[in-house]
Amino acid sequence: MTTQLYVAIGYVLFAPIIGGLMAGIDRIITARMQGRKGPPLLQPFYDVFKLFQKQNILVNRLQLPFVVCHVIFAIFTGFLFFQGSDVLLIIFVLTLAGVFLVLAAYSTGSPFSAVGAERELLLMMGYEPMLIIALVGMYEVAGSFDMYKIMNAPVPVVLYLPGIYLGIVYILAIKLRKSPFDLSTSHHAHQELVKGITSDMGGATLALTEISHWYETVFLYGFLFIFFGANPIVGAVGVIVTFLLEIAIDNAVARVKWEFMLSSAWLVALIMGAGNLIPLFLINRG
Amino acid sequence: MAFFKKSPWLLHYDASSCNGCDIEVLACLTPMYDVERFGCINTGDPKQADIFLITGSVNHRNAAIVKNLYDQMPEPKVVVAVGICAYSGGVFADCYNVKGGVASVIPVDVYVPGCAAKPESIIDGVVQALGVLEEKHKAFRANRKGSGGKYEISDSYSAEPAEAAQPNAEEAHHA
Amino acid sequence: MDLPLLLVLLPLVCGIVVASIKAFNVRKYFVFASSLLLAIVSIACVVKYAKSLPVRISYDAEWIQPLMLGLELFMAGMVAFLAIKYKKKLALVLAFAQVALAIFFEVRYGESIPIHTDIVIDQLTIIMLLIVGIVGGLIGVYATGYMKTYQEENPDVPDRRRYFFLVLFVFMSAMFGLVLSNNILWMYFFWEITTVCSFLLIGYSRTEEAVRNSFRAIVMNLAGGLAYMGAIIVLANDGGILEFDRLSSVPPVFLAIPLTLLCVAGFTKAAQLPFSSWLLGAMVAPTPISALLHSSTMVKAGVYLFLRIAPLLSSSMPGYLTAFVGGVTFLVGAVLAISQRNAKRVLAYSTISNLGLIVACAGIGTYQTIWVALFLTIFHAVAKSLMFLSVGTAAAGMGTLEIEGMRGLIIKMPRIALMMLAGICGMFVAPFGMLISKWAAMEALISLNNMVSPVMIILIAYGSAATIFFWTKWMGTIIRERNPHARSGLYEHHVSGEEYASMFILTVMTILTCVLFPVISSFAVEPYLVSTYGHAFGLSRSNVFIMIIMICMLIVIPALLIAVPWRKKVTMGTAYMGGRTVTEALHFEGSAGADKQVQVQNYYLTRYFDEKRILPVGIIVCTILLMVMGGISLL
Repeated sequence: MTTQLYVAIGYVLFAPIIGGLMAGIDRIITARMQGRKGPPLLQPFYDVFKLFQKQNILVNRLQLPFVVCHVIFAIFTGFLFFQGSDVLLIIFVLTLAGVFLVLAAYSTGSPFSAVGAERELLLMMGYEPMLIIALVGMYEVAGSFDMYKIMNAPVPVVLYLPGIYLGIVYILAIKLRKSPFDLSTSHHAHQELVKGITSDMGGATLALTEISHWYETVFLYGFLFIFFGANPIVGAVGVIVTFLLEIAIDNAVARVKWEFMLSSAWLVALIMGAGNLIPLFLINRG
Repeated sequence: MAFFKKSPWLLHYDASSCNGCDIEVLACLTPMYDVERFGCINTGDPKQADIFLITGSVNHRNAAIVKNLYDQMPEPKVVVAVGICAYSGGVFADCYNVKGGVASVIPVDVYVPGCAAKPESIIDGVVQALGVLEEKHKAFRANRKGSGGKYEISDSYSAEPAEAAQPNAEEAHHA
Repeated sequence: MDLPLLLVLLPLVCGIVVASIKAFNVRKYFVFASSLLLAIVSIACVVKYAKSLPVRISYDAEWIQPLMLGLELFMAGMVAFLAIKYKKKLALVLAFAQVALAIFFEVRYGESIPIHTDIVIDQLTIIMLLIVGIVGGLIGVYATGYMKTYQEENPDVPDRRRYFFLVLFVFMSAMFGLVLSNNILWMYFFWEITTVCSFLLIGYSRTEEAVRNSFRAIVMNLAGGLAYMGAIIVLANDGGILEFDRLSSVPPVFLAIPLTLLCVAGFTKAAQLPFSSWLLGAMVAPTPISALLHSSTMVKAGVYLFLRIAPLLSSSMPGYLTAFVGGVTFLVGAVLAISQRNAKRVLAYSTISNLGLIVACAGIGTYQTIWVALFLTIFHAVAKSLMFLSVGTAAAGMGTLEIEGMRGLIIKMPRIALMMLAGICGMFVAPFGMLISKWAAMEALISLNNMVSPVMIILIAYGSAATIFFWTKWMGTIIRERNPHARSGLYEHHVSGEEYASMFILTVMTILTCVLFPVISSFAVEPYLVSTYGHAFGLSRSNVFIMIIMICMLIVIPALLIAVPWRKKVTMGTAYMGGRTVTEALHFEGSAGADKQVQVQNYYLTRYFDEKRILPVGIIVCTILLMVMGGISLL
């Protein structure tokens, strides 16, 4: 059993705890920014435990299986990532996990879920190009798609990929379900199209989506971590700064319409992503 | 160990309120009263709510809706009726369209007096409701283990939507 | 009689036999038998030659060339006759131009070019033979059941089913001949036959729309044929070599123009931009035609041409320009598919898009990208034909081809819906074939040593994002159960056994090709790469391992969760409708007591991704690329 496998298993076991704590910290900082006191640190855990204790009302037979598949593939994504597998493939697995959630929402037949599902698809369409371009950029610098090799590249990858890093921060807001891109389901707007994709999910179903969101959060910040190279201090600082930045943006900016989200995400991918990638290729190959 | 006391999620519904009580409910979310410190979240989705916070009285139009929302909430659930209108109709009790308080449609657990109710009273009412919630949770757990049957359909579907129209229940193609 | 000749002649015989039987019930068994026979013969061909690849065969018969010329004249005459009948001048002109060029070539060069090998069977040929034989056979079987329903539901379309099957089998014969040919003239001959077959079959229903679209198809494909003939003439003039496997010995300066012309021919056949509108128009044809010709077989002929000349395109300007055309087509096709409401048009744009990716990989021509291109061909042929067949059946059952009409298909036609879902998953979901190929394409592109790489990657990144949207939207529409208590399978009674059987086999093939792809890689694809390029390429073992795990997870977990009743007691409720009381058919009482019904439609984003806005952009960009290609070749 290699170190990488241990890390991956550690991810599977501990990521919900880390993710939940991060969510708790997020809520406290948000509250303080808004001049309130905020919930206790462990509030996300209380929420999830309570949800598990509620009666689970389902709309049809497909809903819960799809959400369970969503969680399983979200965990699988992170597991593969921390185990050192090909990051490009991992993004596609992440997409698959997202597709399951969208299908769970579609299957209910409710108009709120349907709109939430369509918005979620628009969000996925928005962040995908930037993500792929970022991974290709990492490969260009580090010569590999293996997360550990990228982390241990001679130079921290972010120094060659500043534009891509900023682009990732931009679309991270989409993935983390933060304003201005929290169109399909949100932490704060509990009434936006009455909770978007999670409209018809309650009880254990909703708890599972929360848990998968924690797994994804840990995976995404892990992905950010490797930008900064092998030095854990620098990496941790980078992750914390981005974390706080995302919270600040979340509180400062209002939710945008989907047209703006899609066009800006694609534009950012083009300017920041391609704009970083092409000079990089020119330097390396040209 | 039950977590309802730590994470009560509210469904706030304005039955036919003048909005006075609603403003006070929303004020509870502001930094001044900040119910989020107790883990309260004002969610709009009945499937995710524990506490049904109703303001205003019930009339013929919204009776069905109140019942529907209540039925869609999963167990255990409590109802908190805020304001005098939710109790008895308040100043509007004699109006031709008012059926009465919320209790005429769904069982209420806690009444919060006032017109409009103060945020402190509302918070007090919610805290009391949490105690009721915990008891209901214990009862629900005990009940669930005992009963059989595969499907338990909560009857939010109604066979007839209204007196007026007769919809065709058969589904033709919808292009 | 050797197998290749049998492969070409057998479908002709079968076609004539089938067409001469008047009774439908008897005829359908002959179609089954013929399809089975064709599949068996193609498999036999593979088995026989598997150990001794590549196999070279040549025919010394003097009568073949004049026979082909005669048949070409006959076909041109047929086209001209129909063009006159329907007053389509351009088609008439092109048909005459075709004849003129063919006769010119015969007169000027006919005897002077020695051909060493007429037929080459290598791994690429084998893959194509299997695709044509098996997928084609299955579609033939499907067609018997489908066309019966089609004729019943469209009484104003004259019943020309015997003619239909005749042309179908002629087409199969031509496809076999096309993939077997090493002789460029022969391939041209079979190429033209497929063009004419497509023309005849698109116009099957003889409605004005069908006629118009069939002529559009033949005009574009004849233009491609002219380019092909032009390439032949230039090759005969300059290089004196007319065989694919010997083209590499022609000095590159003489190859520039013919290669460009061949690329143009391939672009028209594979419906790449700017020649894509004929494929969209061809969707008016009955579903088996769309499945066979316009997704899994005939358009693959265009792609096959690119794969054959890929070693020559490798690392050259025409190759890179081809790659750009393919890449732009990939992006534009994917984006346009979002805005289409008609399911067959979505499939058409998706086909164009995927063919663009294959063409791009072929244009770049490194051993890695060719590996990708071969797999994309295989996976696409299987999954797309499954999609077309299931759409055809679903549309017949639901009465509409709109995606909105397939709402709730999982309840209304559960078995068809499941197979359609399998097809859609096969198109874009990891770990199924198309996605793995797309991933491998990106990995292959990254390892290129020039600036083509980032541009292509960016095109693929955006295109790939777009595909997620429309496929998932479609899947969601299928599983949207509005009424979980509705009776299941209400609309499935018309579906015939033949349709089920063929779709079921294709579904199994979609999954199997995925699971078995390492096997296919090591037995067929890698040897081809080694013999043509000197390198083998395969996905690393760890990645293959992950893929296999994922496939198992993807099949086992949903099946377990849905089929097994885990909880003894499940509480079912209604969807949230704003607290409204709704009936099971989602009727509710609106204001003033009016009865209203919930209406939800999908996003088609027509304000941004509409054909009228985006297609011209794609056409202009690709036309410019083509002109650059032409300009460079003339230099």
